[in-house]
Amino acid sequence: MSDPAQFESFVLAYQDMVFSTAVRLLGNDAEAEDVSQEVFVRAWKHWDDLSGSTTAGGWLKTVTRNLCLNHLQRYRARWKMFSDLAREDDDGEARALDFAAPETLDQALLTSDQRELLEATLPKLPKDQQVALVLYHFEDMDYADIATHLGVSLGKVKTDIFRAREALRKKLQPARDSVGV
Amino acid sequence: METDTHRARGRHKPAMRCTPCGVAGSLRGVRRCRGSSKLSAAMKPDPKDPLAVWADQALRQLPARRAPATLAPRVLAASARQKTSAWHQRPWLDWPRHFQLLSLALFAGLVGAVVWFLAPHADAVSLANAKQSLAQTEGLRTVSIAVDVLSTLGSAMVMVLRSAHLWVIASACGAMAFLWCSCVGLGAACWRLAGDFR
Repeated sequence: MSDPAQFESFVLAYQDMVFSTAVRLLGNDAEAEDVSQEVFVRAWKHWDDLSGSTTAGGWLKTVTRNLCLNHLQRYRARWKMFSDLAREDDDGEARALDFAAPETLDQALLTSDQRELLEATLPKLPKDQQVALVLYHFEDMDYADIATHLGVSLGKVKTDIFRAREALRKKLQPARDSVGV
Repeated sequence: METDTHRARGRHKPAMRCTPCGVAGSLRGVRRCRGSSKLSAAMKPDPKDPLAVWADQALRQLPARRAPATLAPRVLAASARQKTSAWHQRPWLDWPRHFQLLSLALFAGLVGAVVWFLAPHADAVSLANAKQSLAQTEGLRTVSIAVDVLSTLGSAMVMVLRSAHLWVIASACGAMAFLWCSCVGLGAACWRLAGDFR
């Protein structure tokens, strides 16, 4: 298979992963598509190394994540990552551990409607909460890594993730009640 | 789960797809999604935190978002454009290494040549003539005064540099660098603190 044909297969195989990562971090389809294109253009530049590599997926994911974070920091003045840092009650871990409502949280099996609701709710979260949540749950980064990547305090990351989870739970709770989960 | 592009081209069949990541499994050399299996095992949320466990389970059920049908054609067009464009039409950072080095050498040579040709003509008579013509032109007297002030300051600096010992100059440069770094560091620290207490 020639290089362009192989690259086309590569793009088709990974485009959903790259786009998913981008759209969950950016919360905007058009921007995610632009970033995804940039990721694959970079992959094309490094095609000699990537074409036979079994770690191409990891490479793409890392590049997508970094480009998204750069994009957010560079082009979004309204995204105030650095403006609303720690508040007085910012011990996110302690609050998260205090939180206990196991009777309502023991089941996380979602219906398709709930999944759609969850997907629609993610981009509506405050941007710093959304990014931290996505990096933790989808990108498998730990709190310290997220704090380092975003240049914010560990407490802020924990608080943001906690608040984002709570917002998702509150959003889904009526839906869960209505379907009797 | 085939996209429009898949169907249109009819060559890529993503038989197995990692749900959270959306990586199709039929690509040569890609046996499994590496992004969600190995790492997720190590990154389970604290089981004592029911909210975290619930959120993790709920979010991981979300299927991968489908890339728009326009993405693949856009990427392929961009890569084709990149492949066919000449090296000098690309950004300088994408030039071949030897052309980058050559261009740097040429630029340095050009700057050197300009300095080498102009330096002998920058004598006192030429400067005085230039100043006189500036002063005679209405509206450029302010410029002439500024040139006077700057040239006086420059002469003073040259005199100081010539008379001072090397260690004095080095110390002054060191002090300036220290002050500069202190300003930058202090500014960064203030920025962080302001953010922390906001």
